Amino acid sequence: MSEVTPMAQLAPLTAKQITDDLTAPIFRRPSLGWLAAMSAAGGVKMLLVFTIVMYVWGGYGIFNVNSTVGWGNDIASYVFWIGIAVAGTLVSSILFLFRQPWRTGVNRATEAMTVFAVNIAGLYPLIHTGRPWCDYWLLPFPWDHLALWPQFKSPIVWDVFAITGYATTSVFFFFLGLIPDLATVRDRCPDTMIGRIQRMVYGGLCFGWKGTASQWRHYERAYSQFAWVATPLVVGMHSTIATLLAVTMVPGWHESVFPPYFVSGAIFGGLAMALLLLVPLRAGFKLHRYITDDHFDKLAKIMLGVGSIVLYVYGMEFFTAWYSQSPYEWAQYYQYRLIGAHAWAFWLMIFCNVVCLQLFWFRSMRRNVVALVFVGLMVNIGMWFERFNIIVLSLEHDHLPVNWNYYSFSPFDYLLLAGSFGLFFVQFLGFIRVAPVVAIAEVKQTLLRQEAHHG
Amino acid sequence: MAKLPKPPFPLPIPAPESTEELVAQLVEFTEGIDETRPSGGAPFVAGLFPTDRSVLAAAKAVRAAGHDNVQVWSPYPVHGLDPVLGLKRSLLGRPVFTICLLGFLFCFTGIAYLTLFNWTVIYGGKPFFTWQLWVVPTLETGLLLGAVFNLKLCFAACKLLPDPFTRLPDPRLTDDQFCLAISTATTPAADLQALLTANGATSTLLVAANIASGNPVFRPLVEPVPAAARASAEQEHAHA
Repeated sequence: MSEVTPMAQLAPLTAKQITDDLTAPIFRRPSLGWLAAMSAAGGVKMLLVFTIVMYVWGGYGIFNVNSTVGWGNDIASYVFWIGIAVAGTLVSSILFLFRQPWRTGVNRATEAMTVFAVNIAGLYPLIHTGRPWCDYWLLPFPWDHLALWPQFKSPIVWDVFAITGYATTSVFFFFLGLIPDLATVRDRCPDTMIGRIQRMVYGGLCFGWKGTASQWRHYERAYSQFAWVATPLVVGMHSTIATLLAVTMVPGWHESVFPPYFVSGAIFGGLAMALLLLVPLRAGFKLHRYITDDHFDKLAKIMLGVGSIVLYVYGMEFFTAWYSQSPYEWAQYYQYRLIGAHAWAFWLMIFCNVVCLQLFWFRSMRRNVVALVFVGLMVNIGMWFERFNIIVLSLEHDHLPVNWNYYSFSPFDYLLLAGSFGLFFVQFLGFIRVAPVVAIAEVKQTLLRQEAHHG
Repeated sequence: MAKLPKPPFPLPIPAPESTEELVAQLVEFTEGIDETRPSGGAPFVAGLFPTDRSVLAAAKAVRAAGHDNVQVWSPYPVHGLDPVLGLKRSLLGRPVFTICLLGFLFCFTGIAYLTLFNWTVIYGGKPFFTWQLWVVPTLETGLLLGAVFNLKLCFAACKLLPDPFTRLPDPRLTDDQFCLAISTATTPAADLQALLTANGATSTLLVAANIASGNPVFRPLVEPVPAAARASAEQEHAHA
């Protein structure tokens, strides 16, 4: 752990200090740690590229899905990544609407996480269609050679709308938040050849932002409206994904609790990923004054809250399976999940999402970076297996015993999953080198006002 | 005749020898660019302030002194400044809400047309008019259009264009400085400089008139403030 001066001994923050601290990583040479992480992530990302090349060449048969479990790794990982994205919107939009000023320390990083996670999530269904070069058929456009429209009664088409709307809004919201900070970076570019090029690039990216009073009044209004739009969009988007499963008759899916269950689970897993990103980010860029233990404490408390909702739903699924007296539901939960061939996946999920989470009842654990990373990692693993349990275990045993089948990963499934993590970390590591990872203007507004009020 | 310092970056006009020449050049340079502005092309005098509180106090004093053509730059939004400057609440809300509603209507009627008239397909035995199943795409489309329009409207209202050559009166205005600029259309530059200095400005600049719409031309205002003007401004400030 790095040596950190106790907060009480530090001089009060000034606007200049904030700018210097938060723009320094952009103009600094990359550290060895960053280079090593980027190289590793880049190498893992190549697994994704390799898998996609092999998939286009060899067809969908390189993955192990079968006629019973038609949705395997693709859809489990898709829901996982969408869930990661949801937490970013929680921090950027929902906490904004609840007027939580502490969000300014972590909102930029979590918004970036949202954007990068949602584009990876979008990759999976595009691969899953089997013929990705025909994916544009999903769009409601009167293609002449097709002479037909998407079927709007199908939840799959709802999902296309949900993801498209959510991804677009997330990118716009993220970009709008970046504009004043990109202008700050523009005005700090050194007067060298490279600095002039940087100034032009950042000047173009911030669209000539000047920070006049007139601009700020429109900007603040638009930012607030984005929060109002993004909040129902994200809740609706993940509820749509849940409904996509719940409207089917598959035992294990046909549950009205799915939409709130999915939204809670998404926030739970997404915040776990946020912890995994923020802890090393704070240590690497020495951002202890901006991303404080209080931030981690609050994020961990939210995780504890939504994790408890998820735990409640785990219990309710077993209760309703018993209460419904449906033999298929009963078998799905009390047989296949508890003692079936994939029971290890269920118990791993319980250990990661339920047992490990209980550490967060202790304040010392919520402020301990090792515990935070441990729980974050465990919950990420647990949340991926939660989606695996929902998708795969339910599909393996439907109403017709003749259909029953077993699903296991092919080598390409492993490569695809690993590669998606590589792509995610490549994007995030690249982002933290080119843009401020903490929202400079928002932090100045919040911290300086707090310090002014507290003397 | 006061000598001017070297400009911080190349100017599209010959470097002036004095402040009077600079003012004349700025008026000539900005002629035709922004004729509709109340300043009529006159340059602005800009004062730099170290905190949001000081610029807010100065803005109140400047407005109380009767100056209407005022502009403020800040690294973050200064709360309470808009009413002082006479800026009304941003009206981005209603058009965005309207677009959301139109998006809902567009998507719902579009699906109705496709499903009921253009391509009627029996799907899973469901009736053709199943409005409950159209709610999700309708909601998502309306919100998406609202989001897109929100961004476009914000860019239009803020006059944001991908301009890589934008310059501010001072690069510290996106860092830790605040700037208040007043038009010289009705008041001599020296008096405005005195007013700003008396209200806490740490330094002053002369700024071209097209400050809000284009790339302004900035030069430090080096002419010393007449002692009488300074005393008068300080006295007024004390009374205020």
